Amino acid sequence: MSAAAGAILQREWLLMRQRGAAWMQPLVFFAVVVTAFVLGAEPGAQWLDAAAPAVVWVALLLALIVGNERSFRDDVRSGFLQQMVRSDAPLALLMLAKLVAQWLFVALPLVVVAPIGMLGLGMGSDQALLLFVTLLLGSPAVSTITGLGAALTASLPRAGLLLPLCVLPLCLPVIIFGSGAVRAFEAGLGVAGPLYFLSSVSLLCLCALPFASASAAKLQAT
Amino acid sequence: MSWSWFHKLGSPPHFDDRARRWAPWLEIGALLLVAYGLIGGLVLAPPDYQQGEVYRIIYVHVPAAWLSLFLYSGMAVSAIVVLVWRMKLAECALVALAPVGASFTALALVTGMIWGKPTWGAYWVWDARLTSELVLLFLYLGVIALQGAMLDARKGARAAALLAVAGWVNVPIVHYSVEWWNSLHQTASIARIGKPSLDASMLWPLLAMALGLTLFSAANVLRRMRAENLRRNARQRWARERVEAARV
Repeated sequence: MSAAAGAILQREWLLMRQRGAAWMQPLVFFAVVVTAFVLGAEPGAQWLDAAAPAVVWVALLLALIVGNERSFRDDVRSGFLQQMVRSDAPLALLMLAKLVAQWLFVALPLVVVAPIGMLGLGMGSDQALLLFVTLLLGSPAVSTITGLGAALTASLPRAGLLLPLCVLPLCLPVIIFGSGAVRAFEAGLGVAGPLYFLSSVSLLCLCALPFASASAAKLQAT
Repeated sequence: MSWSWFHKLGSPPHFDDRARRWAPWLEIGALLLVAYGLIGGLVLAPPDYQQGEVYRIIYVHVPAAWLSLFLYSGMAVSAIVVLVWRMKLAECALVALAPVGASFTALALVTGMIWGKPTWGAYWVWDARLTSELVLLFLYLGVIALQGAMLDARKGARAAALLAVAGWVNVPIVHYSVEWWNSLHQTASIARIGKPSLDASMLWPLLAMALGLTLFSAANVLRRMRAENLRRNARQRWARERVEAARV
């Protein structure tokens, strides 16, 4: 049973290596969004300091949507999704493996390079460290939610705008607490609450969304 | 106890019959209640001692806001029925409830903005309730878009059902997170008009409007469900006969 989940992780890893430099696309996208925000503001603007955590979170969310959109779509096209649905292993477990793979190979690189963006936005080191922790804790939630959206829209000829439209409203609490933790820190308030909140939302998503993704996958495979 | 009435309700031709008979009665009830509510609220009720005439928008705003949540809950319940029991009529209900709920959400937002300008001095403030209502509108629009994007109506309804349930879990989380977000930065708090218990002359029209618009939504949802039901069964004999006999 867990061998099947391991096989899926391995397959995702091989697919990513096969695609060559494509794994960098979400990272470049993330960098461009952050740059666009900075260039849209006047140089040294005060509000940019205040908005920096939100900018990083929004850029991460958009990059995750772009990065996760493809995986389920390719699986539908190649027939792998049908094979997963037919397999003996529980589908929710396979979906969990797939969502974990998405987090490992798309979200984690983004979280790792995000501090460069934070420095570019001129954040202090304490704030940047805290924001990094919130990204680490909150990204599983955002990644699995976009994964569910990708599974729901996988068989559509053009998901385009539909995926962000479905996914963004669901991610708003994570963004609020993710960037709110930094503002709470700046205001001298405790940050444990938001961090606990982010962790609990991530755990909730990891528990519930594999099942939702499994029924979405069944929908695409029939 | 016999459950045959319940199973009958799930059969498309039987539902078509029932919906055709019930919708006009609901509409008559809605018309009477809304007429009483509008006359009572806009003409008979005295102006508010603090807000003057502006407050009268609550006769539309409050029922719309309440229906936006109520219809979303109805949509989520039918979504669960769709996912668990795969009832075709629940799929029709889900498809029918989404646009009605989205309209009431938009109405609540617009009337709130119209009320906010003279009272708060701004059309929009990022208040917790307003923001959650806006997110609710986004959730509705996502469900409508997803359901409309699928070529197969049943698949579209099931996909929309998954999204609706995910959104339902999310609504309270959004509400409390927005409240936390709002309390974090200490802006000048909006002087909320203290709500003294409403006078009976104001309360009865409000309740009548709420009930009237609820009946209107029920009738509208029934008619939409009926249309969806007929569209899905267009190849069935009973559907063709009914449409051709112009009993629509």
